[in-house]
Amino acid sequence: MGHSLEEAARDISAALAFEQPRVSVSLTKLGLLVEGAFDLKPRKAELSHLGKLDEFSIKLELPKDFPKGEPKLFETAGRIPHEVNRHINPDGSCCFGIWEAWCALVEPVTFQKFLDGPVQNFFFGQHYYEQHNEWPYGEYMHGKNGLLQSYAEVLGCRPKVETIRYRLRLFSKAWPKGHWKCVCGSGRYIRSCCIEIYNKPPVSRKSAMLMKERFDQYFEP
Amino acid sequence: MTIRDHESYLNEVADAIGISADMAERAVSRYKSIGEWLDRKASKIAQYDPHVYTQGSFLLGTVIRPIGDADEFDIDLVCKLNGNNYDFSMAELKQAVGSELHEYANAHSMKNEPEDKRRCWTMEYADQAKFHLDVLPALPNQTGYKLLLEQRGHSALAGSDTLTETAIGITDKELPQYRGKPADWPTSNPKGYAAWFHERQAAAVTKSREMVFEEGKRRIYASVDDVPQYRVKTPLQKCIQLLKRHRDSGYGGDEDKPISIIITTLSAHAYRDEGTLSATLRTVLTTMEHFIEERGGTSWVANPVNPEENFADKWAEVPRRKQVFNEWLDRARRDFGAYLNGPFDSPPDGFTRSMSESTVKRVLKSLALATPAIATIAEQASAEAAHNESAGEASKPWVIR
Repeated sequence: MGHSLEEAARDISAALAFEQPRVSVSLTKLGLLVEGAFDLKPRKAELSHLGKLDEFSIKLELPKDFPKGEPKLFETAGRIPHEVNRHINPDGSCCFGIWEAWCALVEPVTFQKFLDGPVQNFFFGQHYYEQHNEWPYGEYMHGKNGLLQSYAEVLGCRPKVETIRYRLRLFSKAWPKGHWKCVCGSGRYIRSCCIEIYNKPPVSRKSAMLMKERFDQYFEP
Repeated sequence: MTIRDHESYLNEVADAIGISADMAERAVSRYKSIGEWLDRKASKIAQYDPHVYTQGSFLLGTVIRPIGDADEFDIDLVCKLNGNNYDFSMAELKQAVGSELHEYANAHSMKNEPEDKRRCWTMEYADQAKFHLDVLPALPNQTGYKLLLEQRGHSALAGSDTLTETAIGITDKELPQYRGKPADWPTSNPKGYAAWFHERQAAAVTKSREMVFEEGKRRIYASVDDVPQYRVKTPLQKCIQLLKRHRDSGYGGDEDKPISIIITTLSAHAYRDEGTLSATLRTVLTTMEHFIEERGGTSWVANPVNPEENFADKWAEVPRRKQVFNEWLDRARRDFGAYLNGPFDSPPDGFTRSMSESTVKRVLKSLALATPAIATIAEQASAEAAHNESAGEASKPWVIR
């Protein structure tokens, strides 16, 4: 977490006491545990007089190596049915999105960004689903295909296994060799093709390495 | 006045716990009258060109009413004489000012005689004004203040004439050199502190002055610059008033409660020119503790105009004070956070208690509430989704397999 776990717990407690006054933060062997009532606050200014749109009982496990390590989020009051169609994973955790893909987009990752982003969006999605029986912004396909969709969006390419794998390989190198083939598929060398992609890659090297790790688990090289 | 959101509600509460313009004007006229008395021809200290001015929360614009209506609030004044520590011992200055204040009290048929406190004289006003004045006798002390800053390595502060020229030497009955002449006098710089405080919110002060001027006050004030300080209220000042009230309601009778100067200093440090009271509360409450330094294992809330002075010096002697500060801060975060996370027109119990029930009820009663009409939960959800999508804040869920 960058600094000691105690300091992280103190900083997170301070921020949460104001933003989410009904949750508590505690230290565990594995990291930090955040538990209590999560207030789903509106972002739209015209709705701010409501204070909150809804509330959910939550348990959030932040691993010691957060944000490299993925946090686990649970809805604890049994309000959300444990079904894949409601984006609840087989272990009961909430699937708020694809962790490393989200991290790649928002670097540097902080706890506050996580709370305001994936956590807020997940519960707003559930709140909306209960009202309208559909997801407010659509959803990724389940499993492998959803992973391809999401990675392709982050990397700015087509959702093809080999295309994504090649990009992740290149972007996770400190600097790819000039005589390697360009990611655009032209068949030309990098040095005489899309050199600007390498000067300004869509994801950092660290993010590309994390993405590649999961990618290789889903799609064996 | 219509309250339509948390922001307008919080502003109304801050106004309700603050000192009214009438009260402020009454206090100003009282202290000006004392100033004129000390400077009158027959005054025994007129030759020292006495100058009376406010210090503390009145000067900073952060005065709050006491919780019980029977209690009175205090206004701190400096009475500065143009002399030096060869002209006066501390005891002589205290008596010279005190004697004139006694005459003033008699001439104005005040019920109570001025009371001789450790550093100041206290003047009780028993009429409907419900306040007392603490008058602090002082001498100019630019040289002593400069020397103090230089000795402690703060040469940049020592080199600022604007800062050092407002420094004063004050009396203290408990010091052994109280009757000695010449002697080392304790140094203070309330005007310097106020200048720092106002600098921290300079942009907001200008904006508030313009607002007061524009709000139909053109008839009263010739220009924006003529709007008096006590009429100007910025988000930082109101935030400090709310925090002080929260402190008073939770820890009023506790002698270890967080002192106002610590709340004020940390809040002003944390403030980042937020334009609204709710945004100011958010920033101040979540970051104010970052401005408590640790110096050799001692918690230090430095006086910004004299960094060697630790406003939290008592924390080392009484560790409970630090603990109470932390407890209070956590409660304040939760109480204000819970209010902002709920409907603006039904404050939760914790918040109501912390602002005092009578204040909250009075504000709700006296003002019309207007709830914007987005009717059903489903409509609210649709409006929120559309907003998030257009603001690029939407994200899609996934399932591992």
